Amino acid sequence: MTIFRYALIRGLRSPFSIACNCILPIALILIRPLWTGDMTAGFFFIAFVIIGGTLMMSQSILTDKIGGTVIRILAAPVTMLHYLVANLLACMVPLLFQLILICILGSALYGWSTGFSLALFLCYTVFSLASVSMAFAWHCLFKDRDTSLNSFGILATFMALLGGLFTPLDILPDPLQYLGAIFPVYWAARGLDAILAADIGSYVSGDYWLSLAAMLLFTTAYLLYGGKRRII
Amino acid sequence: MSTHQPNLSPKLCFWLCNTAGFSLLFAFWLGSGEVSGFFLLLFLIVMALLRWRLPEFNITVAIDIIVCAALSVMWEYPPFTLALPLFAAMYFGFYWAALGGLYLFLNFDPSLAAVFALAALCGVFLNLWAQERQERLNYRDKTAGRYYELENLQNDLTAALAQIERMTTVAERTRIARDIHDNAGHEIVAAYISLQTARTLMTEDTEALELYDAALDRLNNGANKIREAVHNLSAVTVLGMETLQDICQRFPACAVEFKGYGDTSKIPVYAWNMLESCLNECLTNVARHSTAQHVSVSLDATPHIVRLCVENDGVAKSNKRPMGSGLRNLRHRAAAIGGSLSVDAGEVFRVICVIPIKEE
Repeated sequence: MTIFRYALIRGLRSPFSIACNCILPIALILIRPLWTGDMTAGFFFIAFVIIGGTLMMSQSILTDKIGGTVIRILAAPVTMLHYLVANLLACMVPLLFQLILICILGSALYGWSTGFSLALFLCYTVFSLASVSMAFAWHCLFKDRDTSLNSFGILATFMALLGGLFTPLDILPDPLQYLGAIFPVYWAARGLDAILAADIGSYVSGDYWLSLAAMLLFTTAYLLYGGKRRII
Repeated sequence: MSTHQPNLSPKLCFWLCNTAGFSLLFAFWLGSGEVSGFFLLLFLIVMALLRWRLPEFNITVAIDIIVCAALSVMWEYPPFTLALPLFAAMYFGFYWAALGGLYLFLNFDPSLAAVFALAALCGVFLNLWAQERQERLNYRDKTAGRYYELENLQNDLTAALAQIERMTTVAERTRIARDIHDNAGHEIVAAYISLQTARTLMTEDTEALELYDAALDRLNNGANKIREAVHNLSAVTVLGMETLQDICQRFPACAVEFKGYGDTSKIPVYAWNMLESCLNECLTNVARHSTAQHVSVSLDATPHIVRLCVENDGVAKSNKRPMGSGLRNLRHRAAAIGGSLSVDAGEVFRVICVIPIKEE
């Protein structure tokens, strides 16, 4: 519990983290044109904000690794699994609060139905899980904080472009349309498309569940990779 | 300057081949973009990562084979994906996976057969390489272990040699002091007493008496100096059986009973040194590896051999190593001087060291 508490405090200490996890989502949900009519870019922007929030919150593992704190922590009777689970949980908690807030505000402002909100919440939650595990695996690759963060920023931009968050995938050449499938972002966008395309009351389409399954598989793969990589 | 060299191991080659295989399959998949194909690839990657993370789950490669074979009806590439689990199974030594090749009999395709054969052969070769490498590593470890053992033995022998040298010096000084005291010293004192007795018979010549008294004084001084020299030559440190008794008395872990039999005056210095080392090692082992409450030490000296027996009533804490390197080194040392050291780990733990006494 101590590790979780301090990981949460350290994660939320940064102003950028507060911005990504609190201010930006609220600001986005309040911009009506992003959520009504034919424009549904707000749903995809939120996914991008989740990636940013993940990046900010997952820095505690990287800081511990670079500063040698993890060695001192593991000198105590704390298992590696406990340490990692506490850190990953600390990353997930602010994201979950953010998603709950978005769903509540969306329902209040734009009249989202309960089914729609739940489907949206589930999709975002699974995507958050995949993003956190990906950030964790990514940080395990590097021993330098700046390199890790900058390269992840570049990767996130590519993911957003190839995943179809900012632009429709139809305008890309055929091979590039499928290339984004190696990132969870593509499947998140696909899941969101499935939610938005479905009729009211029938959100549980096959494509939606397929997207969730893909993101869960990605989560498993990233966690397996990050867990194997020597963190010290 | 770093001396690190990249270590190309079978394991590394295996994962490089896996990565190359997945890359090729992904390139195939980009052509069609079918969701089912992507899921199959992702599933295979997750399973491969699982085996990489937890090697005890290598058997899960069977699931990969079954899934690939079952899904071959859904996507045109599953027969090719079957090559990857087949390769992995061969690498892990699961040769029963070759049954996956039955697919070829049901739906023969020359290109597929070539891919399967290549994958299986690569897996087998990597497996054989890994086995050979492991054998070499084991041999290297074993050789290194023997080398360190010999190095320890050499250190022990060097230390024993230095101690024997010291003990020989002390013993020789003791012998010289004893000879002077017992022979020359007694004779001079007897002569001095005789001359003192003769002094009472000489009363006339005063000048001769003065000379006589001066000679007596000088003789007395000489006797005192011899006594002092003998005292200085005598050893301060204990030797022989006293050393063994002293070691037994100073042992802190439990009570040690010492018994000595026979004439120990003929036991040479090198034998005492060996006995001392043996007793020290036995008592150290008692303190470290047993729960003994009582230790019995007996020393039997005969005109031809000396036998030291150390036994304790403790049970060894671990039976994995019946004879450690210390006792092995002692056995080598005992053999070097014509003796023997035997260990009996029955109801009581007994170490017996026998050293022959050679005639000078």
